[in-house]
Amino acid sequence: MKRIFEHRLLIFVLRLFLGFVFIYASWDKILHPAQFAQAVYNYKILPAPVINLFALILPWVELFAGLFLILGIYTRGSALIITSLLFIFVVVAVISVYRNLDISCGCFNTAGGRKVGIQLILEDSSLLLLSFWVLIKEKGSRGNKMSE
Amino acid sequence: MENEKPTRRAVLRSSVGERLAVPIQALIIILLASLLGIGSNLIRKDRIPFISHPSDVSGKEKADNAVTLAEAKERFDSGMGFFIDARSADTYRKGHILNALNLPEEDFEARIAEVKDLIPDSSEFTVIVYCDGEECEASTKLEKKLEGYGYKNVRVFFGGWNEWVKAEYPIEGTPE
Repeated sequence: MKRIFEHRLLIFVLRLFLGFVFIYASWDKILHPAQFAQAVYNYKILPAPVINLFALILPWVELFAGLFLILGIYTRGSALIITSLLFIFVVVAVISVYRNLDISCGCFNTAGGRKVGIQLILEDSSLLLLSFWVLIKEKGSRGNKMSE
Repeated sequence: MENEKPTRRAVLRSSVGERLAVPIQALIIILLASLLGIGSNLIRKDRIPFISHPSDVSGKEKADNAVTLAEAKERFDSGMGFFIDARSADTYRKGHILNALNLPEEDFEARIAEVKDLIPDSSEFTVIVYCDGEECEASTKLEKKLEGYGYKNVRVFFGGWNEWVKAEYPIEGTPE
């Protein structure tokens, strides 16, 4: 029993951690959509016409997924979103490094700062592993009931 | 009865909405986020257009502080332009505009004292900063730092290294 509890506790702590990271990441982008759109544009991946819409919606997805992950609302759906987003972020960062783009990541701060590089890829990959762990281990009430 | 069982350890356990399939949960979150993202943009003062045009974003920084490829080449030929490569030392070593000085934007504070006498500060000479191309930000950041340091005649060559190489203008190192 204790081990199960500890395991649950670990998943809970991971949920809190990932949730706060995503809420924090969403905040500056929600406040500064134009700057975030510029950051998205700099990656040269999305076609120009859809960039603004993407820049308007993505931060809110991050906010809700983070909030719900912490609160335990649609927990696995939130974990799925966060895992998918992190996977996309890693792929995009790898592409950008490969294409030798010298750009700010626009991850936490739209005003610049962080560069897209190996360090960012490693950080995002670590977060990806954690969130994947949450996604497969977090069973939700439905799964628990079946096991009890 | 069965429903009450799991609530005991509810704190550590997710509880709401878990009966829905996981992709449906995710879809609901995305829909909710879309509604709020679009809705908030409708009411806020600094709203941005929903459909962006390439010129909205890319043209923004091309103000009067910019030099075009032709202007950069003209100043290069006449010797009236002083080129500064704002990229990292590694990238600079691989290849750069002929005779350009390397001053990585992130090393500005550490390096400016040793190179400041090399950089001309007069209305005749234009200091031209560049990085890879339009999408990099090192050149504009370096421009601001140089201006903050006291240089008055600093311009940004937005086309940067990529455009210069494409035009096959003089370089040191290799074009890649």
